[in-house]
Amino acid sequence: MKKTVALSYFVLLLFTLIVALVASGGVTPLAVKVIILLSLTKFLIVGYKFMELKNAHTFWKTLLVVFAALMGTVLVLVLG
Amino acid sequence: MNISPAKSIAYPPGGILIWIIIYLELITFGMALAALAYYGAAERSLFHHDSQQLSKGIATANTVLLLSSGFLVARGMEVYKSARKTETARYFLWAILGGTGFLVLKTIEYYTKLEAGFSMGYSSFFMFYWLLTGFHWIHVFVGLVILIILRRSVIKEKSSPEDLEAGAAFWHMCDLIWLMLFPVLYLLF
Repeated sequence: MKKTVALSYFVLLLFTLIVALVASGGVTPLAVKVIILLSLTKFLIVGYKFMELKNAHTFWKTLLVVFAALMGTVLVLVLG
Repeated sequence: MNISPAKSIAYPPGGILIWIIIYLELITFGMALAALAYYGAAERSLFHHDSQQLSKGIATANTVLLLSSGFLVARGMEVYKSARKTETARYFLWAILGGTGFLVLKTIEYYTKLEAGFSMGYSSFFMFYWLLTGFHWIHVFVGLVILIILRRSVIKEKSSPEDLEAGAAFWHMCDLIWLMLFPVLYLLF
């Protein structure tokens, strides 16, 4: 459990670094998609690992994934 | 220590009420971000110019601070379940310092933007910027007050596991909102 949370934290920091590096290269359509994908992955990691949603009923888990997917789709369609 | 009855729809970690609040908050911020993206797509060059006035360095540092604070709260909850309450109080203290660091950095950013004349009335982008980050700032402040109260209850051995889980969930919600705000406001235009 301790390792899982620590690993999640490491992945979150790594993704933050990657997102910052990708953004520094300019806002291309591909960069927009990569930034949105990585940001929503971070969003789900916080939900599942830090908020312990992985131990919750499927309903709550699905709701978070649906929300993230909806946000990602809207942002990619509008800005991608 | 078993905190929440697992896998019951009525008992997500922290209780059903906090999760209803969390989803309502996410939907509210999500709709505002969709509106920002919509207007930004219509006035791309203007939004690009305004977005470039923001400090990506401060925003990235703030992301690291909030994620670190969230990690410390998650660790604090883990050790609480092992009945190591002194360690929980210590983790929460560092999480509170991380959250305070976020607010201080954000306030410095606000000051520099106001000094440069980028107030809410400057443009559509800055209207969204002030509203979204301002409401988030208030959420983080409230989250910090909750964390301080929870830490005190842990130290005085008057803490309830349900309260701790709900408070931690509120704090993580601030992370979730920031993880949506950061890319859209600072990186995507």
